Amino acid sequence: VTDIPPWRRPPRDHFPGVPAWGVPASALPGEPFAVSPVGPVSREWAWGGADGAGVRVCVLDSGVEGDHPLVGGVEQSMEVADAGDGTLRVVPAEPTDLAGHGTACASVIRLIAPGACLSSVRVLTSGKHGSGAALLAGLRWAIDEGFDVINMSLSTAKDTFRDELRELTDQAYFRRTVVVASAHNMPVHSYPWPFASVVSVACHDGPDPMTYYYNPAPPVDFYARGVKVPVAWRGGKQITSTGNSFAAPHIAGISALILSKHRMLAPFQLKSVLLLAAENVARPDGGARVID
Amino acid sequence: MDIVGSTALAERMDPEALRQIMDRYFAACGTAIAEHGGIVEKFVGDAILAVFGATVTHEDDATRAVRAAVSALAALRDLSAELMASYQVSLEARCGICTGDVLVTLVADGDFRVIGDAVNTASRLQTAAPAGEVLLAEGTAAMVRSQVAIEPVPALSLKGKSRAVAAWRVTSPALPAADRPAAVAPLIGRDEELEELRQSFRRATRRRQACLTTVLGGPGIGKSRLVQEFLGTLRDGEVTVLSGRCSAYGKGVTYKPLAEMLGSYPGGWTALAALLSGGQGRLAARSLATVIEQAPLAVGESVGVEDISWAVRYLLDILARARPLILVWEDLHWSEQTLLDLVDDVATWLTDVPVLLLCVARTELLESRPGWGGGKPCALALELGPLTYEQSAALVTELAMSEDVYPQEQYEACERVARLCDGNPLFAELLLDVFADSAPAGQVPATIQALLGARLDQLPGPERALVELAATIGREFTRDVLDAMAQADGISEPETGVLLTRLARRRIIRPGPSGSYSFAQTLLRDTAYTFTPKKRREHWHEFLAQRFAAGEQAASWEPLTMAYHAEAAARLHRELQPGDPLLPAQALAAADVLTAEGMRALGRKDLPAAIALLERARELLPPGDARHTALALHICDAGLGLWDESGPMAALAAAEAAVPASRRNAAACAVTRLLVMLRLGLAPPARVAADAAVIEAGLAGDPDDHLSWSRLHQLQAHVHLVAERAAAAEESLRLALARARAMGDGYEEERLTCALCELAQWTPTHVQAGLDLCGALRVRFAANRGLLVPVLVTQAYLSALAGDVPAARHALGVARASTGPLHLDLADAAVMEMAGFVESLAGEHRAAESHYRHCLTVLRRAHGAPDTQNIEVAIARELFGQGRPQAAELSLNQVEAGPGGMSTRARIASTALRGRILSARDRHDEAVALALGILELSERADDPCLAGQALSDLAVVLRAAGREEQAAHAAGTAQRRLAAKGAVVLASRVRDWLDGMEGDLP
Repeated sequence: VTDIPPWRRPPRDHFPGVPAWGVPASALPGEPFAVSPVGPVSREWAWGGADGAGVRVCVLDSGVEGDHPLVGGVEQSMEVADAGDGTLRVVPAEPTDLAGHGTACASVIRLIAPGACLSSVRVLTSGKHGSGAALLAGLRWAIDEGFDVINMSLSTAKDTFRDELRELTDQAYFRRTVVVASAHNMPVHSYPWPFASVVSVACHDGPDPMTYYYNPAPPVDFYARGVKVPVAWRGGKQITSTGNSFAAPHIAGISALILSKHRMLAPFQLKSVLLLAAENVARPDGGARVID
Repeated sequence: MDIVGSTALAERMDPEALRQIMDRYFAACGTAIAEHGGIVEKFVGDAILAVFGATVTHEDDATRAVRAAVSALAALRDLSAELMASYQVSLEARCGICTGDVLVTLVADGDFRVIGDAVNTASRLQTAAPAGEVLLAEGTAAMVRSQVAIEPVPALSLKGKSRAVAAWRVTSPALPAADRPAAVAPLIGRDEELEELRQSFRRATRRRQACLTTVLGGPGIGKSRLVQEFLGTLRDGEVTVLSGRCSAYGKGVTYKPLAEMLGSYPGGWTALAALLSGGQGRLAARSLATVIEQAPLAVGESVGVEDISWAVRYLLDILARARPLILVWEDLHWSEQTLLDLVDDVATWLTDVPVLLLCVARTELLESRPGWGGGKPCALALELGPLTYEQSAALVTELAMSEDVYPQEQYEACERVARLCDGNPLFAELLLDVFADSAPAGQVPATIQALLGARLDQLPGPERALVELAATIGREFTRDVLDAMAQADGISEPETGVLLTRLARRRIIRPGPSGSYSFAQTLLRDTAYTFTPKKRREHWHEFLAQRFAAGEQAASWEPLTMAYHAEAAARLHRELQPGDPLLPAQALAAADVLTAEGMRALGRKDLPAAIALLERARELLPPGDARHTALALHICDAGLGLWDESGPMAALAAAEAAVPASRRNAAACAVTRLLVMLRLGLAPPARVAADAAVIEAGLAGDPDDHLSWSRLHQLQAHVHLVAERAAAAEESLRLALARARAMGDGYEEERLTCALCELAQWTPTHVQAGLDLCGALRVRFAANRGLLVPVLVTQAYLSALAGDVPAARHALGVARASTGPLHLDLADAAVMEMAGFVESLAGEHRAAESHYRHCLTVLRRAHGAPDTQNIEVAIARELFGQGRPQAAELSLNQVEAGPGGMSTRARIASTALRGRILSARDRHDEAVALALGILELSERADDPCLAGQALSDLAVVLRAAGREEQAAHAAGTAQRRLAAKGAVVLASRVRDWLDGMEGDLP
């Protein structure tokens, strides 16, 4: 028996007499594992009294300015760099931001989940944009590192990266890393946000950071605040900005809150909890028709 | 390329080691050359002569050569490092590249040799190059500039060259990314249309059919882009694609797009001409050469629009039999009507070969041709509408975000562009460019034109100046012409190169093959042109006119281009200084060029183009110039061919205003005005005759005014013809012809000769004289079958009269062979009518009736409703000849009940036939009364056959009424007149009847 939880272990050996991926019933009651029981879900139940403590959130972006007062320090600051032989490595970097976008996202998460632990991987290597290969390298590293939540306020429209991105987000889903991804700001197709394995977020124009809505028409799962959002910016500044980029970290922050209170929620459970606590589902007359 | 210091090396090395070193040098460089598609022609000592594009040419042969040279030098550097280790020697080489015509001689085993000045120049450049460098000659530099980084070096004095030679040094085999022209915009939201194009092509291929597909839409909507995408999906070697573009300037130059299209065939017109062999092929080649190479025609020879259309179909048929063919006609809304007819003809008549006619046009095309593509079994019109907001957004995103990954901040610019662009891809692209260069502050231009203007306004001064120069040249321009202008404008040649590279990067211009460029969009060029101050445009048009007029021997001699620029300069000058009559220096030369081109168009009966060109020429002639008169008359001739009244009248008025003081001009115009009125039925013949007499009296004082006299005689000939006075008409035409010869006017001479030839059918002149004329004209009109057919018809008629029915039938067979493939419906009707006459003469009345009826059907279908009375009377005559008097009578009743009065000719023929019918029913008194009623009219008719028929009918009626003496008199007159004409068959029939040897006359 090992310290590694089942969701992070390599595939189990094939058991003779049972088709692949299956187990004998005798093995089932074997190993105990922790579960967060889901009661009647209310917002209070979901995150009441939580501050995100103990949850590790990674921001894949342009870097995060660690000493920005609205960010309040980062645990790990990494960047994707060319190892010199054409391969990409994720290596430690100064906690700085080339553009401001990553710092803005980090500040939103911090606002909602002040106790969460923030890390940064710079994948937008020029600040304004980055290569698909750097994005894949950064995401792969973050999944391997076992973060609880990964915020991706970015996407690629290039089909060549779709399959590999899907594989990585599926991997994250099974390994209990919640990937929160923002939808594209233009009505175009891009990735990874339309994948079922991620929590996809677009914006609504309300002013409350904790108000979000469930969207019954996929591929966008939730709408969170994203219009005229006050955010941190590079150089210690603060600006007001708009974009789906800033809706995603709201859901990432709320996810951190929920996970800090219910440590053992799997990503599919977390999505259920997010749904049940959404403004239009949880509130009476919020829009959802509750069927017994 | 050659090794530097190889002699010293040879002295120092053991020969065996040297051999090994040299082998490795040749192998390394040979590989580099072969990788870029070059062929090593030979090794001379240590030198290598490599050739690019000698046996197979590529658009980028020059670039390939430069890159091969650079990689050969790099390979040598690597080799040298190895040699240093093992032999303690280092090798260095240098290269020279020159582009030019060389003679390629194939020798055994597919090997070849090249000879030419380019080889020598390359060798001399090589000698002058520093070690490890590549020097380029001027021509090569011009061709690679958009692909390779180069810089000029001081001019070199080379051995064997009298003057210093300009040279360029290669600094990098590729341009830095920032200097490369931007990629083509993506195609968004046109999947269905693209599939439609593929479907059209599949249909053409599968059914072996000519399909006409027209892509319609406003400027910038993506028509050309769609076609480009479609063509890009075709596999090499699977299909032949030819394309030609119509342009807004150069009006009247009907076949320029066709010439461009055939020139786009690999190997150009020369290669196409080689496909045209055999009698028909040679005829097609000759017809096409007149429009493609502007091949000169022999005096009096001409090629008609129908012949050109036929020749194009003949050629396309050959091409499409080899593999499917796609013809792309760009900007067809600017086409002349005659070219539209040609495209339509190809779509209609080309059968059993896979051809896709892909027309690209603005929707204006449907205004000038509402029925375009209609009635064809395989025609399709695709109208490109605006993109949806989503599609616009996708396009904008693709254009603006070329990298892989982007954060999802708000792209304010992108969103605004997607909303503002009205679903127009070009508009979107331009808006993005505007926003990229400056933040979108304040008002955004609301229309695409205004936007293009704003885009141009953002250009830095020197780039803007260069764009203006280029726009004055046109949508396409070449580097040498632009260089000449830029230099005159104070921009040095290297600077021009830099500016062009920047403009290409901004997607304003696009580099083409061999030193040519074009504006990225037609609309962009037009806007740049409109935004250039008129004074500046006038100046540069005059500059260009001067350049393109630089002597017929010079390579820059492009008469039509010269004329266009001279014209533009003149127009702008008039707009700027309306009161100043000054014309550019080249105006007269340009007017002559346009007149010559207009007369060529007139010669091939391309009437709308002829009018356009001649009117353009008129605008370049100063007031008082004597050439105004002839121009007006020729515009009238073309206008009459189109049954148009206003054009000719306006042309005459313009000539009278331009040369008010000239009596000769006034006379010629007055005569021609009467001719127009008579031909179009605007004035009664009697009044025209009276007015003509007044003019004739006035002309008596000027016996040497040949033009006016010639035209007056032509007018008189028409007056005579209307009154069935063919002999008098012929006499007038002869006088007119003598005048035409006296003034050496080949055009008038040809028209008059044709008229005389046709008239020979109806005059008393002996058939032999007519046949001689026909023989001469047949040779002359071999390549213009529109003109040839009337000659053949006349020849058939005269041969039949002379008793040679087989010759007549043969002539008609030749004529039908021409009218069929050329789809000359009216000419076909004339052939059928004549076939009816010939068969009637041969006693084949049923066959004759059938021919006449066929002719009647065609004429009734034809545009402009020609007069059919004579045919209908002829049918009645054939019915009577078949022994069906009742049917004949019914037929005559119908003719006489028809609208309008009957012509003299129809009245004589129908009354004579009625007399015969009554007589056959023994109603002799009525018959005699009728027949005698037209006696005077018949005797006065100049046409011996018409008179002969009427008089012999009278004779039959009289004899049946028992008035033998009068009958003999009438028959005698008929017989004499027919004999005088040489109509031996008819004459002997009447004589035999008189002698009682023939029972009855037909």
